[in-house]
Amino acid sequence: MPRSSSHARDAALTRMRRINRWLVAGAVIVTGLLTDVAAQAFPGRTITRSAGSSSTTRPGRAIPATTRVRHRPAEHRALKPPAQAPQAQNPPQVVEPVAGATPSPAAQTPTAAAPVAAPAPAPVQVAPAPVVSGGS
Amino acid sequence: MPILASSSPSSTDVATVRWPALGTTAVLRVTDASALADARTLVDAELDAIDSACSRFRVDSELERVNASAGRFVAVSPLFAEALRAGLRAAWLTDGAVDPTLGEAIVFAGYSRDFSELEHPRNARAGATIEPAGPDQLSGSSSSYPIIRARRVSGWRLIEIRHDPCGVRIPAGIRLDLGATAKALAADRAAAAVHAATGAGVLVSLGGDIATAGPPYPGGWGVHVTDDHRADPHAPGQTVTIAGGGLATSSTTVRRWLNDGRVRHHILDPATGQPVQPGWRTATTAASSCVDANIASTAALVQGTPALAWLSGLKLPSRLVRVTGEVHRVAGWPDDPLSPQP
Repeated sequence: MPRSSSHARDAALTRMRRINRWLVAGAVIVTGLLTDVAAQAFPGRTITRSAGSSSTTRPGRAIPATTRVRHRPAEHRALKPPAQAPQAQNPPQVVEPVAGATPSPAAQTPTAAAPVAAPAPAPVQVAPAPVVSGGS
Repeated sequence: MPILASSSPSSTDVATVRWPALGTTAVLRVTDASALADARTLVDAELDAIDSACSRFRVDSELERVNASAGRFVAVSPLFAEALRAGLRAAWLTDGAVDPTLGEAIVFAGYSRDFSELEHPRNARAGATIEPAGPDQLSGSSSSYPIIRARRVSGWRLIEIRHDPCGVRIPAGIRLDLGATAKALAADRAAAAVHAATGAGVLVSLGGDIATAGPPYPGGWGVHVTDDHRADPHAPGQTVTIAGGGLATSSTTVRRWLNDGRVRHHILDPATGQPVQPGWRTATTAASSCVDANIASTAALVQGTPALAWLSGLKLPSRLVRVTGEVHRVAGWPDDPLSPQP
């Protein structure tokens, strides 16, 4: 084989190797780019059907997986404190005046001759026993 | 048999009824006695619905159907989806300390059937407060315990929920257990339903997890916090009033059973799949809802001492009791006027 032909073949093989390397690298880059584009275009999300649509699925029946959606942690609101912290109370229950309580007999039957009676202490209402909260 | 009581002759507006439900005790208290019958009907409906959706002990429950269909999408009711979302929210907010996918682990620990059918350690059945067990008594030697299997069954991050129509897919190999959060959710839903229908102020307690709605009893709803919800209101603990929201207590001193000769309880550590090593024996938290209170109190037992800073940071008033009986109060939980303060 002429020496020039051998050199030409080696040069061609070198070019082929270089081209192959670029093709492989390019394929990897393009694959990554397409993956990213697809991920951006079709993110996991909640699918809500229009109000007019109806469903005939029943609990417990397998349904197509084409609409599956991963649960989204972003939906979770933080634990919320109460509007007012608990207040201390002494057991047994304290007694409390009753709003609009029945007046005392003296107040119900005043007489013109009688001096105005001092207001009787309001009847008291005993609060119900506390509900018990414990482990269950 | 339900126990119906008007709280006192002079407070005829408040009425209370108690009855067994969901394997525990339900208490319903309303500020308008005339609304009690309707309120009871509404609460019963909510309890039936949550039991049908989330019971671990009913073969016809949605929960069991979902567990049996692991790996496949299954259509579920909106209520089940709501309960599962509450469980996943609990897991997310507690970094997995409260995990709805420990169904396999709890069965593995021996809680495989209705609690009344389990073998109980001495004194547990009578409802007496039990002296907290030490770590050895609770879990035994961990070297022979197949922890690897218990770890494998926790997978809440892999659960998928679809809306409208509701669908759920859980990974193969895990089982859901929505027990704690589902019960609290039922209390919240029941209280809201009663108030919406009757306009009365209402308190609903399910096994000591309390939800309220509407105007409270004057001075607030009285709640006695102790280890066991079946205890007397004068049992060791603390009495407080709440104006609204929810309050929940979790404890390792109740719902205990014997498995292979070891005492087990129902608060599991997702990191091991075993009952929590008792640092706290009882944790009580007040929050804006019963679900939030339940999440926080359960997570506190799992977290141990770090729970103090966690609850304080969240501004959730809480009372935590160590196994030694030492009481800690954080985030505005009131001092007990009956006990000396340090």
